[in-house]
Amino acid sequence: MATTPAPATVTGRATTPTLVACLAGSAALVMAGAGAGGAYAYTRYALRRSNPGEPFFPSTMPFNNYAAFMVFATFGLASLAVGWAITSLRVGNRRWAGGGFGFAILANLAAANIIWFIGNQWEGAANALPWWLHSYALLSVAGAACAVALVASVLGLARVITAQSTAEEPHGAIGATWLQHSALVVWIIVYSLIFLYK
Amino acid sequence: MSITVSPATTAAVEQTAFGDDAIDVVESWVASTDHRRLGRLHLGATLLLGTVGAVLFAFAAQRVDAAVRGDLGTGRWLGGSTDAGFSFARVLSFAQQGLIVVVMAPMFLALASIVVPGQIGASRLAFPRLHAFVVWSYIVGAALFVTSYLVVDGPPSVDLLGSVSGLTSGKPVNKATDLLVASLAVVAFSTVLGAINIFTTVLTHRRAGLSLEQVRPFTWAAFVTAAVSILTIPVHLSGLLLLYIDQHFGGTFALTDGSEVLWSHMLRFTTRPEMYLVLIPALGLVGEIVVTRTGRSLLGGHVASYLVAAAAALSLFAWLGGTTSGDSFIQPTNRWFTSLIVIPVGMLVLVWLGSLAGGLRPDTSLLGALGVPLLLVLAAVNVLIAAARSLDAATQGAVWTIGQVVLLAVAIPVVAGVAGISELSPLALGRSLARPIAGLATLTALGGGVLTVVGFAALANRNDQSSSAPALSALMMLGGLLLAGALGITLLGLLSASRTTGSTNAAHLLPFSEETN
Repeated sequence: MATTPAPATVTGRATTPTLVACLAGSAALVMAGAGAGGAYAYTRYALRRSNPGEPFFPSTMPFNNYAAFMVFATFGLASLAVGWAITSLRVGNRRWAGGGFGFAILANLAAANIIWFIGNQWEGAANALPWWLHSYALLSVAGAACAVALVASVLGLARVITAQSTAEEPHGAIGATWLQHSALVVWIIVYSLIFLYK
Repeated sequence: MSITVSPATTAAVEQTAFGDDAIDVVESWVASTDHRRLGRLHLGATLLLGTVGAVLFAFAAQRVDAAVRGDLGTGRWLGGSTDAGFSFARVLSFAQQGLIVVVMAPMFLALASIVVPGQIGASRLAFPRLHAFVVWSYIVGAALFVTSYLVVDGPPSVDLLGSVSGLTSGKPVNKATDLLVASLAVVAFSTVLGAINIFTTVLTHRRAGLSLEQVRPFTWAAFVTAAVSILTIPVHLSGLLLLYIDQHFGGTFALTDGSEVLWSHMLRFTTRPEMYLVLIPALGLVGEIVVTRTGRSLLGGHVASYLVAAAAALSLFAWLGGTTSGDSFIQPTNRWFTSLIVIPVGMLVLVWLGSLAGGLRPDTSLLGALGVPLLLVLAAVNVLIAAARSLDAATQGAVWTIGQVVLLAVAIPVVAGVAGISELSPLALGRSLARPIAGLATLTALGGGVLTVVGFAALANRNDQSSSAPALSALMMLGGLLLAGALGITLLGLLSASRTTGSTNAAHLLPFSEETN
């Protein structure tokens, strides 16, 4: 009969809850994006069944592909920056780590600005295109993901500055990077839906 | 020298002391991060709302036959024919939404927040302040939910046959709809945060040497449920965002088929994993009772854990449900992927029964543990009968579906929950629930579940307008009232047990390891 292994030490465990919670939060964020995208596709499909001529995405919708790509690029830069921050943190260079999180904050602010710009472009089509509302909901989810990434970057920077995240205990900062990456994934989902069906 | 104290001075001192005490009591609750204390508050709130929801469900069940015959009268009910009255659809929607989303899922979350730390050897949850936020935000969300249905116009409701009434288009949007969407969003947000807390606690706060496979059955079920909740509830939140934007900014979209689909998903649960998710902790509670009462691990070692995980994973296939309001309520198991959930659940029943062989310590909670397989068998028999008789989807199928939804997502969780609270009360409350109270609650829940499913099944399979309809309606109403009674009795037991403290039962703290053989 197998027996329970002898108790081991729990060293290091006390620092990991933040990372686990951030990973779970990242999964939730991605599922929120996927849920919004799925609901869009789902209801669109239902409408196309009753109205076969309906395009999947409103063809007269003002869509600035350049702006949408710039959101992708800025989220990508933010993801690279937090990756750089974690790499720096692991080798003990807190200054570079702080710089990485600082750059990520700026990139997230830029992404939020572009998302706001896209929303403003769509605003005029509200009454003419009922489906605009759902596209706007997709954009709202992306905006929420951007806000979460921004807060995570700020907290990551704060932890680095206050030495709560160090080379030995990088879990909190790693958690912040996961949230940043999940924001990028959410935008990829939203962008794919809008771009592919445009 | 004697000192004389005037009565006025004494009264002032007492008033100050009483005031200070009251402030201290309020402060101790508001500022508390004790997972047991907050968990009891959370559990009590869910039981209270569950009792109200089950009573309303009982009244709705009593009118199901009239709804099938299209004989609901003025459409207003429970309050007369005035505008302040409640329509059948509104009561049915409140009962379904309230019992599944606002009661059952948070009830198991509350129980898990009390019990899980003790079962894994931790002194607290991973994020105590987050837990406090979860509990208080749940209470606010639940209050908003009740309020939304009490507003005169009420939110959109879905009737017995699946058509949605009360959809608004354009501004100004119905205030009750805003309240409903906000309340569901708050409850869903608090539930997903609570799930993250439980998930993190089980992963990172286990006693050294206690592997994930060795944890107790309820802790494992809570962990699995939390993991799947993290994946599914954000999707629900996104749906609520779509609903809010659709309803609030109007346009013509709200009157199209798409909006029906959205509301159908919000108000019915047959195409949402949440319906099955409330079943998973119930399965864990039954395993917990069997392990405790037999003093042995479940038959087959870790197989039971894998079966619970498989059932949770299969619940995700509920998303593959129908795309129209008509398809979405045909049957709870309306896609064969989702139907596969009967395999792990059926095997779990065999594991429980096999584990019970060879001696046990009888208790009232064991009655509930045996009642769950009984109700599952009833559900399976109901499926076979319905398949053999090929029910008319428009009317008989609708009645049958509601019966099955109530059985799977309300009756079984209530029976398991009541029995589980009784079994885990030493760990959750510090002392056991009084045996008569625990026994009465379990028996009442079991009786309510059986009567409800039998009533709905008989009504669905009835071909003619026979004279048995009033009797069946009374049967279903009695079943709903018994379920409400079980939740109410458990709440009373919780309140009385919370007044005193005692020692915890070490049997519930043991890891679910091979050593217990």
